[in-house]
Amino acid sequence: MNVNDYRGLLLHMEWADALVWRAVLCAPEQDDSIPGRLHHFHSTQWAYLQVLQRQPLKIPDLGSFPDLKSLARWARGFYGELPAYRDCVDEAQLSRSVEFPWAAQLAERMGTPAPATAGECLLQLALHTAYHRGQVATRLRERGAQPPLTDFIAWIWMRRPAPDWASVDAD
Amino acid sequence: MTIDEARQLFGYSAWANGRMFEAAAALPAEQLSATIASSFPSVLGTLGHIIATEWIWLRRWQGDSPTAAPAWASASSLSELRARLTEVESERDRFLGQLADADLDRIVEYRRMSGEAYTDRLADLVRHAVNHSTYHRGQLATQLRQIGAHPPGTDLVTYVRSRT
Repeated sequence: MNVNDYRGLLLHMEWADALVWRAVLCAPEQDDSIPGRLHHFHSTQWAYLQVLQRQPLKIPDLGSFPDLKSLARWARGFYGELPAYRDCVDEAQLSRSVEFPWAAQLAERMGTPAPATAGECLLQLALHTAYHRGQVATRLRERGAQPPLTDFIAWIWMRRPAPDWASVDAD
Repeated sequence: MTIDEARQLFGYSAWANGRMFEAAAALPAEQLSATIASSFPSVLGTLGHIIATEWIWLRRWQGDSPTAAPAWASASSLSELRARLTEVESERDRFLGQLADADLDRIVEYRRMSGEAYTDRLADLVRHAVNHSTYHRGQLATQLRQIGAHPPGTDLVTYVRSRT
């Protein structure tokens, strides 16, 4: 995939996440399962971005967020930081291997892992997010809420709309 | 996207679907069809949707637009769904085997089941198909957990690392 393919995946990811957040913030009573899933995949997004930008890992625990809105704003913050990487990365950078701070722990479990390129990391990020977005949709349905349509092809059909974060940005 | 990358994406999808089938195969039949709130009402229902959607897109890429989901999508047997998945994967492998990189820029004309006509680039449809199955595997994992099973890891990065 080329740079534009990866950018498309990440732009879709933001659009879909914003839709999910709007549904979550409107949904009836929450237990920990939805915030837990959201925290997990947004933590992964933050962690990958920090690794790709060679920054120290800084991921707050779920318990440090006083409410759902503060979790949403932290999630939204990722998409404020992402463009600095997404819009500047080039083909050469995408094909470079990435060193993960947790590689040693992984090696204990799986043996020495084969290196992953930055491009593979971005693809992993988009698919990992889609997977857990599916889990959030299931939990929303359990609460009688209607999860939004977030298919990649729906985003294409709608002519690649910009994300709508109004529900998160509102006071 | 190159055709090798498309093959790799579907290789990942086949690996991940296979792992989900292995997890489901350890469960008794009544648990597979037990009602669990999700986009599709049971483990079998979600698996059926994943495979039927892969089948529908493959048909569209080859110039045929199905007007309904295949009857086997609501099959009550895990083994039948597994057999259908194997057929879809084999046919898709043959289809991809005939393509070159430039074919991924081809515009596919198709109709949704509602009859609406659409045109999309094959590369975008490939990305959608893989993303769609991943999304519903997430739902499947939640359903498996709810009936006491342990869903397998199906991350792309695990697949990438397992190949080398």
